[in-house]
Amino acid sequence: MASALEHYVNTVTTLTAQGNYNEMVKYISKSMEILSKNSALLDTVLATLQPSIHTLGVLAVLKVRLQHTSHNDANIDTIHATVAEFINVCCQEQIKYAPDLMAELCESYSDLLICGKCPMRGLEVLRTAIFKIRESPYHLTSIHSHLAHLCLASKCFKPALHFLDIDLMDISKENGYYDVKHFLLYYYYGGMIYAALKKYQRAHYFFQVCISTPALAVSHIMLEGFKKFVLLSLIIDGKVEKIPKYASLVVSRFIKPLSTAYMDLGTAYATNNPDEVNSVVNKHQEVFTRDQNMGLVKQCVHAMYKMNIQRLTKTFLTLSLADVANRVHLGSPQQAQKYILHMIEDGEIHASINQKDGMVVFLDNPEKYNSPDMFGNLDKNLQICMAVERQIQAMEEEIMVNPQYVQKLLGPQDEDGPHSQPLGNNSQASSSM
Amino acid sequence: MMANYNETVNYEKFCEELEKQELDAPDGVPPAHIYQQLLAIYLLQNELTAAKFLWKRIPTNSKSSTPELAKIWEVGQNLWQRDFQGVYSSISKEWSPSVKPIMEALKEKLSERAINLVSLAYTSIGLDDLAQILNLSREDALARAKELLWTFDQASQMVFPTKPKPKMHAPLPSEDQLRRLAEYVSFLEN
Repeated sequence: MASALEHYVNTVTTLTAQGNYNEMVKYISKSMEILSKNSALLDTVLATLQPSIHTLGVLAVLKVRLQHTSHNDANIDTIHATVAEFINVCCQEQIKYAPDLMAELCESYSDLLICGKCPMRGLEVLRTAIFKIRESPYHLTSIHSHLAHLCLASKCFKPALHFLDIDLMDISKENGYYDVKHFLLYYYYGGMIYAALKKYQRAHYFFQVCISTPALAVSHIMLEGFKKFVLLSLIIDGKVEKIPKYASLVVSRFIKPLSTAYMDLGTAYATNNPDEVNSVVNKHQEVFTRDQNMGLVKQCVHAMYKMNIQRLTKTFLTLSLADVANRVHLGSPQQAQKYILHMIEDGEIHASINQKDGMVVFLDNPEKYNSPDMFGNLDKNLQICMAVERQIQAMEEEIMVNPQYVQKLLGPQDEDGPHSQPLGNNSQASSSM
Repeated sequence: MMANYNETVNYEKFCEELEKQELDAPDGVPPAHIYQQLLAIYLLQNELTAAKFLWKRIPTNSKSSTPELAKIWEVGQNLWQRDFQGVYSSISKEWSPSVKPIMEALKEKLSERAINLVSLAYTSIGLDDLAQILNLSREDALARAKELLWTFDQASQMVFPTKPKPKMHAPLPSEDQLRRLAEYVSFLEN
């Protein structure tokens, strides 16, 4: 048995010396079984190979090693250290040959951390892993979703935010390892992180991506995502936003009946009456608590008072604090004053309080749209629009020169002549267009 | 003003360093003083959500061995509630040397914020309420109001704050602006 491992070490060393990584990937995928059979002896193999030089060889061994490890393993600390060390020093060039193995390693690693209740130590490691594996900053990898998961579990969001704030453009296929589950989880966890940080718009967007992912059946991730999507659209807009048209049919058909409590909340919300909303909240309290959405539900109720105050500014120029309290169903003028004060500080309404007469004066937005700040804002948004336009153009060009696309486009015309191999010519022609 | 600016930059850098130390700590638990400083800095930056989650992830061991952490978080809770009085009373303590300068800076920022808020939100405010928000005695609050050229009506005991002046903006370098405009035009035309 041990000789099989010896052979493995020897082959890995030779192939690495030759720099023949393609051959190496083939070899290690064949050796997986042998490694699994000798899982007890893997630590010795790890000791003989150098992670920075024999990256692919070590990667395979580590992957198998982690699969045979549970979080209460006696050597768990050493294993964590080995993985961290490996990801830190591994050779980026070799990793590119086996992104699927790397992704699998990171998945087992993050599962181990979650089970061992120490997600915090993996944050830096997975961050490094993403830097090493991703093809560009705009590529989504399966490790992204694991990092988001660890961040949620450790309640430390900064490391994930760095990645979440990037608008992604492509997905690393990871030799077929990347699964739609990773995609859904990334957007679900990401949305939760943003919601926790009260960045509601961005959270809403993440859940929207999650539920509008093409699907043939409704996944649980989408269902939970939809519930949070509803709550966030209530917080932002005060009404339940429709599921985007481009979402799959099954989603709009099956997801609503599965989340009646949330639809009830939306209906009650539409009345703008806090009493009705509160009664729905009480009625479905159990559901909301079980779904762990009670926090967001409470924020919905809070947002409703604010929205009601905002609505008042559209009708009235001045109003007494007592009237405000009355109209938005707040207990006392003091409470109304508190809400208004908070909203003024956050810039959500423009008003001033006159304590002498106990009145609130609602003002117009003082923004005259003529300040350099506003110009800077416009400037920034223009830059973003231009970048998007450029990106779309680049993508379009890529499609235009895609042989398959060209063949389809020219398909009907091809029938009258035996153009069996005009593909190269056509793609050149279209690229010059 | 300039000194103030430098200070905030310093705190930002300091904050990043502390965050990194937290992440690099073996088994994910750094020494308690890092938690203390990070928590205090989050409060200073008014990053209350960050502070809340930091408090939640600090292990119970560190909390019990360093009781000051709970005191810092008490300030944070009051900030969360925007209860100015509560903040003042919870912040007026003898802090340990590692967090003292941060707490002092927070105090300063707080009174600035309170004055800003009052001038923004009120056309008239009772002297008692003003004194409460600024955490000053009635006399001192009145003196502070006069300093800011706010008028005071003896009969109704009301102070009339004036709106804050719009900030002056640094003019953009015109060459750069011109270049950008040219860029936009060429983009829109193509």
